[in-house]
Amino acid sequence: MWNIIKSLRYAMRRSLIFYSAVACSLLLFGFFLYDFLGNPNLSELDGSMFFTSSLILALPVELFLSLMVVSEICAGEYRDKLINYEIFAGYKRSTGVIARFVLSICYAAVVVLLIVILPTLLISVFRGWGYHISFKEAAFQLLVWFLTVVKLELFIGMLSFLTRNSIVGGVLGYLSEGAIVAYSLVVSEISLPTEENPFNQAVGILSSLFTLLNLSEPNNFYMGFAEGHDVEVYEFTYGANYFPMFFAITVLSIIAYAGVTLYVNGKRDYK
Amino acid sequence: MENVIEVTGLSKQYKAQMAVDNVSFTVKRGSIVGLIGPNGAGKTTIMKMLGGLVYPSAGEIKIFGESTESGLCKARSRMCFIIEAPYIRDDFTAEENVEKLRLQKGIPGKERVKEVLAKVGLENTGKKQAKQFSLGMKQRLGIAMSLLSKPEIMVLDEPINGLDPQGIVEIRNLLLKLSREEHVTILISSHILSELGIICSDYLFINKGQIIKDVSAEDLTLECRQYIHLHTDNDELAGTILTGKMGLTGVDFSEKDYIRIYDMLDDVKLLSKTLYENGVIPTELFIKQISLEKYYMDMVGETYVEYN
Repeated sequence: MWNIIKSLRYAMRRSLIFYSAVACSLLLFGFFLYDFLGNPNLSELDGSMFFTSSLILALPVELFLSLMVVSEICAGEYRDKLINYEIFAGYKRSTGVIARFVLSICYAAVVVLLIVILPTLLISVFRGWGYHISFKEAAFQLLVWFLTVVKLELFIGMLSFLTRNSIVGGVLGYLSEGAIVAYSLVVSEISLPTEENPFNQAVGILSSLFTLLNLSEPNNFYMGFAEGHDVEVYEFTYGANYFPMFFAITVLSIIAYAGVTLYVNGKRDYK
Repeated sequence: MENVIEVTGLSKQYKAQMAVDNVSFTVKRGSIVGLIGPNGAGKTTIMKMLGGLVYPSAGEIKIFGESTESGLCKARSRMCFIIEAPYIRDDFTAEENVEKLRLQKGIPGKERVKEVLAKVGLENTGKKQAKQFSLGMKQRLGIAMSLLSKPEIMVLDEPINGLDPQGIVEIRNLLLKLSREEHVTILISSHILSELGIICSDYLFINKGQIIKDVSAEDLTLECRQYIHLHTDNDELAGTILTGKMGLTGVDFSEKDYIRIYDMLDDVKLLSKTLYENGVIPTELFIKQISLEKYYMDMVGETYVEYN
């Protein structure tokens, strides 16, 4: 599997999609930094402040961009049939699928590392952690974000594998996510997706994009008091039922997307 | 000699069409087997099934004695395939294409990349991208890629397609060298039958998804052996003289317009003289050999017209 990953990484050196995504990501991160540096409270900058800002403002966009890369990783080699070499080399089809999913997840992990974790650590070293979010809550939020992203990546990956076309897979992924978001937004206008509407809540969680929007919700904080100042303390403000449902749906979706991809790809002939 | 590939009752059905129909054959270690058949006969589908790209609808494939799914995967790691055309990243150089495959196969040592490129004469292509390559160069790159892991079996679908005469000779020599010196087994299909005639030790003739003849090169040589083509002003009398007076046994009267004589190939003058002295005038008399093309056309039931 690692050899397939090495080969895919090597192939990305000439991928226009990869470089476009990186360029867009850098540009967006630049905008984020520009905006962040213009913050009047910048003198109070600490690790927790950067963490919450980057998690809410930069990460969703960056990760959503990275999905272009995911569809290319998963289905790009169907275009010139290079994927056939894996079968010829004696790899099982499942190995090829898993390798691509792992590389996609690694890509997202690198994005999180570069735009959230590393700058946060660096700032924390010089300015301390601060009071905007507790370590425990930060780790929990990171896990929730990351699981959502993994779910979204596997969804896009599944569509790319099923259509065997990175562009069609990616576009279908964005469209179907967009459709669920539209549905969820309309539903949430009519009846808020709370514990009283578990179906709507479940549909909302099913859409990774809607979940990402939800997690960026500015209501997820309260005003606290630390070292003689009022501070915004970030914490998810969902009901007690939300996270058990979130984890159940997310984990089941991840298993289902991976399972469907492995099953269908294992049964179909290659061209 | 040990069978490295054993195919039994192999079939592949695409909806209503039977692409491969109950095919059975074996390939012996070190042999070069030519898979011959018209377009759409099922050659590529058989190769794809051997390569694991396409699942058989029925039948069994055994490679190096392995027939289970995981066993076949293991066996395939000792093989290489070029099916339809070499799979190449057009925006990569020759070296990058081979390097990518080297990483995928986990072959240690970057020097192996240069080694295989040198074997097919592509070591000096530098930064030229594959999209600028001629068809022949792409074929040679495909062969370089297939040699990367020192395969024991090569499955090659039209490997000399698009090559210039010099390229054909180079690839032919390379395949013969691999077969003779490294005992590589080769299953090869080509439309250039004269090429297959030079290198193959066995032939599988396939038409409409079925193997119609499985023959060794020795047997084929016998079947395509030289004969005297004789046409006279009186073929009936000539026949009587040949089998009666001259006592020849290798005479074939099955052709409508001429007689085939498999004896006396070294003394055509005597044959001509004897016929003339017995009142038969030969109007056509020359030594001929059935070409592989003619043999193949007869086999698939097509009319063969040779322009001299």
